[in-house]
Amino acid sequence: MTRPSTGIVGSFRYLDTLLAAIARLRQAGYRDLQALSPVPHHAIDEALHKPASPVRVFTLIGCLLGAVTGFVLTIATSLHYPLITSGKPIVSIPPFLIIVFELTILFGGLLTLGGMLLNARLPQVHTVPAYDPRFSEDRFGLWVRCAVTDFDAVARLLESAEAEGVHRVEK
Amino acid sequence: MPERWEERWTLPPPISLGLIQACAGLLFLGAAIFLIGLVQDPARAWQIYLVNFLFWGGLAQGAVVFAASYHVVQAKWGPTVRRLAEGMAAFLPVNFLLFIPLYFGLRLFFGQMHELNPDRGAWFDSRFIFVRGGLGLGSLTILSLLFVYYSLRAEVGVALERGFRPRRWLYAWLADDWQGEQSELHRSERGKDVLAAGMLLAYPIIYTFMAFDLIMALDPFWYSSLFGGHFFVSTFYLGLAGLTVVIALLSRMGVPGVTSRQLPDLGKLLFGFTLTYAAMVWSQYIVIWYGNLPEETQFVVLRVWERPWALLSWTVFIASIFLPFLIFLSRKAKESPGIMFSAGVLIMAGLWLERYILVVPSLWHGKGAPFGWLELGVTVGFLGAAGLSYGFFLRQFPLLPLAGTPLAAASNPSGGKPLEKNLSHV
Repeated sequence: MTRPSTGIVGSFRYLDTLLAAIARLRQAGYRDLQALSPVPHHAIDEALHKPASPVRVFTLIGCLLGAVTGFVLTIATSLHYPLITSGKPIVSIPPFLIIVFELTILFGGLLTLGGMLLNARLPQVHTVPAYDPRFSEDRFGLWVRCAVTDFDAVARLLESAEAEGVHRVEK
Repeated sequence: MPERWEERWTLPPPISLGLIQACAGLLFLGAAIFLIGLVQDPARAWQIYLVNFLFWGGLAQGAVVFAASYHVVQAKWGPTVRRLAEGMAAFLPVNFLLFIPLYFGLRLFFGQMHELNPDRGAWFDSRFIFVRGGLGLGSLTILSLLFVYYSLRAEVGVALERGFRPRRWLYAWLADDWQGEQSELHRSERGKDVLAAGMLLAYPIIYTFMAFDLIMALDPFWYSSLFGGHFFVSTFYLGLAGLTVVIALLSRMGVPGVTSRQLPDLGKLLFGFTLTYAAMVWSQYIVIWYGNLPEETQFVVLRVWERPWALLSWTVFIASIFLPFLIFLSRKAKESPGIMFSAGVLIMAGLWLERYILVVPSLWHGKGAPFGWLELGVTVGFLGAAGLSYGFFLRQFPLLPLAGTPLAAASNPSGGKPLEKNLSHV
């Protein structure tokens, strides 16, 4: 089944009416939904039944990699240049932990950024058709992909959920 | 919405009278045990008294400082959280009164200090420590009570004007010389602005002094310049944990105005302070490790490597850093009142033990760690005093602000336009 390129964009003033609209559309069998929100909100993820973001796996891998790199870097360099300093052991963990911590955060942060860009397919040149700049300001948007034949049903559902505007995209 | 807020003033209080009576019973039991302990073994009685004084007073002060920072950053996410935090100020005057008998304890602790370390001058004379401790604690208590006074006065006045409550003793006193709603609201806001900022400045300074005088100085040689920071951060952390326990409990009981929506936010704050607290401990440890000076390391070695204290220190680490860190990683855990309650209790227990492990090894030279009926009794007595004063506050004042007062205006979670059409969380 190919995804239709047509659909309807509904705009909402309130979060709870958007969530209600998502629930109704899903109940009626429309699962290909994309929400546009000026603020991130977990309730939207839950309403859309999105799986947990894969970005956190990138973060975990980055952090583990950073920690290992930190340990290897500090221990290996100390062992290669074994100079006893103020009577401490050559491999003394407390000061090394600082480097380990820094590299954990650094690698974790970089891989999170990379994972986020990769998974969000950024930079994105084309956005949702009928995108309204207010979806980045004070309105929520809901992009419902559906065939032209379903337009009336979807529009009715959106309007019954108090959508402020309903925009049909046919091309 | 406003009508529902006003209804709160006629709702029955969330705390039953039986609970208050139980607290009073605990207080008397604890006081009796303390007096018996004072006769039998004064050193042991006074050291556990100090541990509990630092713990319960810090719990209340940390929560009030949280309310002040809530006001300073103009937060809007939980008006009931704020009220519950303010309420802990009810224990502060009691805590100040409990400081006065500590004079005899300080005489005991610092009596032979000059023989152990002759370099210590008049600064560590027990009378001087008592006087500056009392001045600091007193001024912080006054700041906190004034802050709560301004917060309550405007609302109580409005409630009396509209006839929600009879004009009786505490209410009449709070709304004394009422100048009319508009000017009072303005005055209340201005008063809170100044007092909250003042408290946020005074709290770290006074608590640094308390940490140096009442904990650090108990060891005749040890010093760590970051210890003050460690103590006021851990006290703030303690206040947040106590607040979380109260909120999780009230939301479980289904008290109106307290919702589990505020728990994830508190969980995030607690998570942040778990890390801040861990950073404070670590920053001192690494410096002491590096310097490797005997007078600094002996304090750590005694507590971290020698029995019986080592076991307790590692318990503190697990209970107030390691486990909370793991728990707060999960979003589901932060949404569950049951888990948040357990996490809060765990952190509080860990921080009680932290104060114990900071104070007792410096003073106790007997075998093993002293913990028996005396320690338990004094702790229970302080719990009773804290519960009694907090329960009194919760029975007197409603949890939700009255409509038309600054708190009510601030309780709209998104400031201007609400995020939801049908506000379900207030």
